[in-house]
Amino acid sequence: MDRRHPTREQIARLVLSPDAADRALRAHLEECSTCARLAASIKRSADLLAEARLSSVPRELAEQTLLGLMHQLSEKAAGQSAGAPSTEDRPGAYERLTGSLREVWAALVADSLQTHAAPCRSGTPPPRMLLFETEELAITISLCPGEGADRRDIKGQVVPKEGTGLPRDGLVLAVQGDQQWQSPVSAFGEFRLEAIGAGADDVSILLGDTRVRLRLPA
Amino acid sequence: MTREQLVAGLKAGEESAWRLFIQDYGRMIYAVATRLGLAGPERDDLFQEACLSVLESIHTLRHPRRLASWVYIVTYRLGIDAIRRRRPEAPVEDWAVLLESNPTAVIEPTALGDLERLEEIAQVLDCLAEMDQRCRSLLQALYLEEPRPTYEEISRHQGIPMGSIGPTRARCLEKLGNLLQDLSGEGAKPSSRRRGHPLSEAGVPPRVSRRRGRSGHDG
Repeated sequence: MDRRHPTREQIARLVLSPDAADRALRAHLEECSTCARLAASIKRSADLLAEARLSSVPRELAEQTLLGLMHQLSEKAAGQSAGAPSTEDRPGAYERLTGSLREVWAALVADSLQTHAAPCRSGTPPPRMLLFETEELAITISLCPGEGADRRDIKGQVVPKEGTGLPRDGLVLAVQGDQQWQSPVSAFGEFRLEAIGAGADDVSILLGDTRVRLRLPA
Repeated sequence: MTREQLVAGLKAGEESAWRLFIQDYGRMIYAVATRLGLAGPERDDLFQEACLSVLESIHTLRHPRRLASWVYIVTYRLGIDAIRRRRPEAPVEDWAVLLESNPTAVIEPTALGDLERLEEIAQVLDCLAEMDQRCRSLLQALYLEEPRPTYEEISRHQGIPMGSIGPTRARCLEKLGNLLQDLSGEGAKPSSRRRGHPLSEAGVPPRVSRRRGRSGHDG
């Protein structure tokens, strides 16, 4: 037996590319327990790492879960600041997160294109007015240029077409790639998102067990 | 972002941290659900339930460097509950005894082996997070990054000469093996835990109460 121990790299090469290993090295490993243990350790690490590239989560599921978690966190924060019951005690929060969000797309039914008479703020052009509808809700949105390049502000209101009540703790989210902006929905259905990316055209309104989605026009 | 920074961000409710968690650790959750034999809505349900459980119990995580193993255990436990809900007539006590004495009566034998392997993978990810930055980023680049970078790209990004990648990889794999061995020495060997109830181990978060109208979930 060759008493000169192979280098760590030689052992790793044997483990990682067994075909490339020479006979003398194999013979050494069969008789040297120290090197054999090192080879086994390196092999175990490499094998586990090779299997650790797990499949990614379907994008839709990942996004829906993130939305739900953010909603959950905002409810928790709102509950703490208002001295309300904890999230766990509120009915429906869990259902809203775990897959029971009913997704409804709101259709664009009116677009001023030409800007509204009242300006957003002094020195800026008037807002563009949009009206979206679902079977149950009407959503008005005004779009203004926001502070900073490629930014815009959204002011909006969501109201039920029948009755007066909206579910508590509504939340509005706008998404652009990895960025997300959010706003609570007030008791009057109002919300406001400021300086959102101009490309953040995917807007979700979480109301009760419903996620109302709408696509802002370019 | 280090593991500690990530856990701090999760505890603080930072969206960027949660996004990263779902992207990186969601894979582990999804894999556990899949290897438990769940599919479609049941798998999605478990995924979201596990994420919610992590959110509600992240403050109980004592060792941020065990995050992957912790996520594995949280998901495994919830997954067993999900399987149990398919047979609501079985008394909870019987179920616990069955799971402990004869887990293959609950989980497919091949799936059990896959799950044990997955738990080892969670451990290797935890050990990877403990390594020095040089080893960690090299092994991540070699084994985990998607798409898989070329040696030229690794050399350029890691600042390692091409000729040093092999020796450095060998050294890092040896270190990783030592960390894994240390972890096994701490009594966290998957097989030893599987025989006992994996869910009663210290550091595992308390059960989160659910309101899904299903009986026996919290038993």
